[in-house]
Amino acid sequence: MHMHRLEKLWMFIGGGTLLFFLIVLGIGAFIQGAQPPSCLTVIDPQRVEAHDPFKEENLGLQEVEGGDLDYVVNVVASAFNYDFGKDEEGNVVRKIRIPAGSKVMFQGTTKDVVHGFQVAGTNANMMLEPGYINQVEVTLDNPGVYTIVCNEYCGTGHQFMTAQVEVYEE
Amino acid sequence: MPNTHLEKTDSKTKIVQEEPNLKGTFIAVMFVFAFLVGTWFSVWGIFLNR
Ligand SMILES: [Cu+2]
Repeated sequence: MHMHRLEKLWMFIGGGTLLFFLIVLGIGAFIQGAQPPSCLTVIDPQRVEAHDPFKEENLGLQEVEGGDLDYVVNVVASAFNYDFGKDEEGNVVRKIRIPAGSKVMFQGTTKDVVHGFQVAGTNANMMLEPGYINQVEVTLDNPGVYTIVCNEYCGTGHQFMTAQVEVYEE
Repeated sequence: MPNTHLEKTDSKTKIVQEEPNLKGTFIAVMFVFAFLVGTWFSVWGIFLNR
């Protein structure tokens, strides 16, 4: 079949783009270890506190000794709140303070319906689904105050479901 | 003898098709390509910088 020279050229470009995206996907999956959220880690949504990271005392910011992670932030979402536990004075934590440059893993689940967990302005963005634990790892380099928002409509109080992350310079 | 130069007409004579001019189409395709590449790399840039 005869084909115009330019037609061949843009078909190669189209095919090349497809190949490029497949390679990008392959690098993510096989070299960088990207996997589906939770990846078969299940949890009883009625008894999330039976799972170590979601025990009252383990909620919120936890420093990690060794390893390549600096902090883990455990969170239990429920309509319409993010539970980060309590601070030393017994006050409910609404703002998490993390030094700039830290590698942080946010780890969360939900007790009721599907909630979102997005630290707006960073790459931390995940869905919290009942029965599953979800995790996202980010390096927080840029100081500032970031708002955590629920980006999955979860009910009448959805718009009030927020918290904050403050990244401060050491 | 008059030379009539009559040639045998052949119904199977090959009709030479002219190549269509696809230059404009190609430029339009390149615009789409540039848009895709540009948006993809700028989103990737946002991902890397924050
Ligand atoms: Cu919600």
